[in-house]
Amino acid sequence: MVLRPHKFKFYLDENFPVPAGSFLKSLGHNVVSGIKILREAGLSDQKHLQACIKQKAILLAFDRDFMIDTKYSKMIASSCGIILIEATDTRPETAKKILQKVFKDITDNKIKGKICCASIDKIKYIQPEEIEEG
Amino acid sequence: MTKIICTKNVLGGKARISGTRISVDLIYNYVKDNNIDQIYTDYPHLKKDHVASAVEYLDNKVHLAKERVGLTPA
Repeated sequence: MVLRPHKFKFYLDENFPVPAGSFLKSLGHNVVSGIKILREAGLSDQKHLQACIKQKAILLAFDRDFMIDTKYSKMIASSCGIILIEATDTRPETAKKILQKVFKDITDNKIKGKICCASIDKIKYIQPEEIEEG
Repeated sequence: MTKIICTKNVLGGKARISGTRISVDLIYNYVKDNNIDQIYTDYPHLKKDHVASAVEYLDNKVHLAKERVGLTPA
C-alpha cells in the first residue's frame, strides 16, 4: 500500500508570492488567494484572519502581524492555524524550501488553532495565549 | 505617486505601500538583489508606481541615516 501525502487547504496572505502558491497547487494542495477572495488589496490583518477562518484554511504569511496583537488570540484559536514563514528573504524559492520542511512535520491536529513559526533552521508551534502585545 | 503609509491594523503597523499589504521591507529584498522585475511576477497586483514609491522611501531613509552619522552634509 502506498501512503499518499496529506493535502491541506491554504489561504495565501496578500504578501505571499504567487509562484509559491502555484508550487503548493502543484503538490496537490488546495490553495485560495486572500486578495481574490476579498476582492480588494490592502485590507486589515483582521479581515484576512476572518476570511481564512471562513475558508477553513491554514493561513500562510510572511509577516508577524498576527502575532503582535493579543486581540487575534481567540480568532487564531478557532482557526485551522497559521504558518508563519520566518525569513527576511520573502522570495518564492525561500518559501518553497521552508514549506518543504514544514510538510514533513505538520498535521491538521498539530497546527489547528496554533501558529507554526517556520524558518530554515527550526519549526516551532505557538499557542495563541502565548502571543504578547507589541 | 503612491503613498507609503503605516496603519496599526494592517501588517501590524509596518511601513507599506498604500492600498496594499506589501511592506517596504519586502520591496527592499528585491531591490538589494537587483531583482526588481521579479517582483511583478511574484506579486502581479503591484504596479511600477508602487515599487517606485517604495524605492524613493528607502532612498530617503538611507539618506537620513547617512546624515545622522555624518556621511552626507545635512
